[in-house]
Amino acid sequence: MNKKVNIDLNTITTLYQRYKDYALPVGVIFVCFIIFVVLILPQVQSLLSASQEEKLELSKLSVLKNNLNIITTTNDSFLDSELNVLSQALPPNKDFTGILDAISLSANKSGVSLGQFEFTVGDLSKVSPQVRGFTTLEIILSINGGITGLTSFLDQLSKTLPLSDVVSIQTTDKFSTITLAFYYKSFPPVGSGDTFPLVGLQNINPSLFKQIASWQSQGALTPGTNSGASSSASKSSSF
Amino acid sequence: MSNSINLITPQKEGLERRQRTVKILRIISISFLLATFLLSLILFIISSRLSISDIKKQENSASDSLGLVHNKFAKLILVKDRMDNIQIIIKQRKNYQNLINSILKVVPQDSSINSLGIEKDKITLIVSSPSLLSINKFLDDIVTFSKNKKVINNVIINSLTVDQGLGRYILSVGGDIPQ
Repeated sequence: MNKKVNIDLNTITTLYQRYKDYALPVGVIFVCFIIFVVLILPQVQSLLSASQEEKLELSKLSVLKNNLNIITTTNDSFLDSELNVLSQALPPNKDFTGILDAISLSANKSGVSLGQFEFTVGDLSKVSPQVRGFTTLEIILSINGGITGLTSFLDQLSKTLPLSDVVSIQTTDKFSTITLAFYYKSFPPVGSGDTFPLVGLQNINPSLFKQIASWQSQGALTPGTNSGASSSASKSSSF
Repeated sequence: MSNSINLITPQKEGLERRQRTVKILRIISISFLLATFLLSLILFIISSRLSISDIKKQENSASDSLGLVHNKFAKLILVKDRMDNIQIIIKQRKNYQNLINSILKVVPQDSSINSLGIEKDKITLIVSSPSLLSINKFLDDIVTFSKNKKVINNVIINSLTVDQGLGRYILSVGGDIPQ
């Protein structure tokens, strides 16, 4: 059913005259609604994301400033000596000299003499044996001493650098054979990520550092203390 | 008196309703206008306060300064890495000296440890004594250790033999070293 609607100027004028009081408020409400949907809502969303970005950048800036502050207040020579001590405790690679020094010093201090010792370096193409998740260099060691000598030796060795752990012990009343694992770990790659938050030296476990430093000073070899080093050393593999 | 007399004509009533509606519409439109204005003003103020480019400039400047001391930066990271790993190692490594000393303390005076072996958290001990009573006392003490879950767990007697030539009882025991 088609019903023709005639809208001419006359009709429009009549309609306007009749509803002109409503026109302005409705028009204002409509325009405000359009402004809200088209302009204000997207602006709010972009402001929210900008505020999040600002927060992120501020935290980055705070890390950078903190890093800069830590670095400028850190004594370079102290940092070097600390890194040196810690690298002796946990070397970045197989420290054969350090290991032999530690063994002979511990033997000397505990009053036992060393028999044969043998590094088990193993296949160089393969990953080194791991003890508690760390790469280690194992050494099998004979000690001319019973249980008392052995415990004394182990006690000294636990306070000597590089850090080691006991893998196995076999002892009789006169001789002992122990397998020791000396820890080492390569340095992690240090990129240019300035935003990595640094920790000041004074906050990196100072008591542990003191303990390790005291072990290092105890372990400083003086000439003539190297009694066990005369023992015959055999290597199971070339290194 | 008649109650049905209506002095207000229906035309006047309609006009009043219309005026009321227009009034309400005007109030709503003015509220909308004010709200839109206020929101726009707030957004303008907030957006003018956000200054990411300024922060980035400061970041670049700090980053440049750090670049000059990158060596120190790397050393600090390495020190932290060494310290963290050393802490883990020291916390995890076994103190077998204490374990052996604890066992030595419970060995009776007339008895001796012929051999001691430790491997993969297992311990084996061979103790000899001229007296069966001493062997018994040693075993009691070791079992007490096991009960208290100190020093040794799950003690197992592997063998008890007599060496008639030496006149000594030889006891072989094994157990687990607590984690």
